[in-house]
Amino acid sequence: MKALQSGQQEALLAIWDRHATLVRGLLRRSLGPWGDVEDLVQEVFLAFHRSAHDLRDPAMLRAYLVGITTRKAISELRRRRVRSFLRITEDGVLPEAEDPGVVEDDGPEALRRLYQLLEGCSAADRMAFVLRHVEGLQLEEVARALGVSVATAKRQLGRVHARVVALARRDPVLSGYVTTEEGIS
Amino acid sequence: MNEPPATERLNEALLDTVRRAGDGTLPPARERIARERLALALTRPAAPTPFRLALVAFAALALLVPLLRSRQLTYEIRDASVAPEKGYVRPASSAPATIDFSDGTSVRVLADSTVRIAQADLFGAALVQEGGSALYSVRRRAASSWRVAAGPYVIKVTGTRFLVRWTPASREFSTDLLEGTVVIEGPGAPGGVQLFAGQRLRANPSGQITIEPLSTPPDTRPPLASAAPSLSVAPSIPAEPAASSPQAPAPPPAHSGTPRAASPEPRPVGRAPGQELGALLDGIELEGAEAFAARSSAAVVMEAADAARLGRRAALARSLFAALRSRHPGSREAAVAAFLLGRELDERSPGQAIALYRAYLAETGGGPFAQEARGRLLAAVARASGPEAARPLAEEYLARHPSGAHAPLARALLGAHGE
Repeated sequence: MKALQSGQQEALLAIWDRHATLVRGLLRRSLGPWGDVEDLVQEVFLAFHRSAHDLRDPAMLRAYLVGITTRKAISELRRRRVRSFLRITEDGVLPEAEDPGVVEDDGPEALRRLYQLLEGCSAADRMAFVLRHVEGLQLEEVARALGVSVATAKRQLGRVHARVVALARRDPVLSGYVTTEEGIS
Repeated sequence: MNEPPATERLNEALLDTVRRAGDGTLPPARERIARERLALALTRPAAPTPFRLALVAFAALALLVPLLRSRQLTYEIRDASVAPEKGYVRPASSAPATIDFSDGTSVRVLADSTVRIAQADLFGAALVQEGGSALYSVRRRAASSWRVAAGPYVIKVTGTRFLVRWTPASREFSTDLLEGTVVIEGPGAPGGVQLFAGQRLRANPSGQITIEPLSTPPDTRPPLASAAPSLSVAPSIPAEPAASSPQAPAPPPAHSGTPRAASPEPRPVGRAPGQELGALLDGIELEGAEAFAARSSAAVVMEAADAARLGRRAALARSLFAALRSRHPGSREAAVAAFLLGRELDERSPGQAIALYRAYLAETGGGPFAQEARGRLLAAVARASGPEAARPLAEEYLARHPSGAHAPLARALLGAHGE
């Protein structure tokens, strides 16, 4: 960390070697596995490089990176929402380009529907859901990543979870993936 | 400290699917390229933050203001036998006065004449000749704008020498143009009349305009007395030799003959991280994409093209994709190159992009980019040939990818045609 804070590039590359998969994975699971997130991965590490001096405790490196990645993902989700709002018009303006992803053509329908459903949530709520239920982070970690209090994160998670489950129950495909205490509903 | 217990939740099978689909690992070659790209980015100066931009703008302004002030047009009045009122130059009957402007322009106000400096700014000046005669030598400058008003007439000046006479009592106006061109507007010439060197414009009290040749053209460099003998000011207005004339074109700068393209743009040297990839791409650029593709395997060319694309060297990436298709036809990489090249050309050349998307779909019959290729093909055809032409593609797209990224566009196209 000291090497990084003194501006040594090799130190950042070493951190890349250890954490690039984490960052890329979090971005892909947050934004959807169909798009190319390499530009964002680069931006996360460059942002980290610029702000590394703020990190006092090296043990918090992972959480710090998760925080930067979360903010980047939220910002990207908002940007995409604005763009998607503007792009499809009657005169046939082209949709924004999406880079190729790794998932094969026509991937699992449930996966598509889940991300479609998440499109209806706010960017911050969506990130809260992904961090808690997909990444498996603890509530405190989710709050730290989102930059909110634990109480706020708790409210946010309760709200988005209820919404996702309710929408999933109404979806003909996703309803098969909603479980109760007793089993699949 | 957990959220309220949920009686219902998404089951782990679905969440595991999300985790697997969003795996963050890359194939080693792509991972290496991504790492190299980061290293390359670290060798470049950081993009300015808004705060830095504001700081730079402020510093630029701080430098610019004194510079603009230094270029503000100022003037001095010489030989005025009486103290001028503010902005007025009124020589006494015995001798003319001269106004010297800081840009090299000078105005000789003859005896018993009055010129008022109405405005003088960065780009020139507006003068009002209220009566009498004055000789103007206006220095030619880029974007300069000089105006001389005399009664109802306005002379628009760029760079020239001319003599103006205006007699308010008789409303007689004339201009002798000694060098350059001017445009004169006024009664009889509301849209302006252009006057060329060696011409005299006369306007009588009723506004009737006549243009006649000066008795001695200016390129013979006559003394002013011969152009306006009645003024008798020739001794004080020497005819300048061409080389020292303010209107003479400035000699070209010493380095103007050196073409920029002759000196290649210097590239950073050294062993900074990221230069390995940069140097590789530089080498390909020097060698030429075709030659590189001819001696390399399709996979290597694809890797280089990908590196160029991710390294924001779009022109090189396009060349490599094209070379890949010409040198390795039938390969899987050539098919993928068709799609990627089509995507690069989407905006600037939809016709080519359409052909390339079709080629990709024909050559692969599917593949990882099929959905996007169909979507982009649909959009490009709609844009290039109209919604009607895109309709079959829209139907096919919706049949294959009902929730794809281009599905809204496909539905819009079909909906627009009454479906």
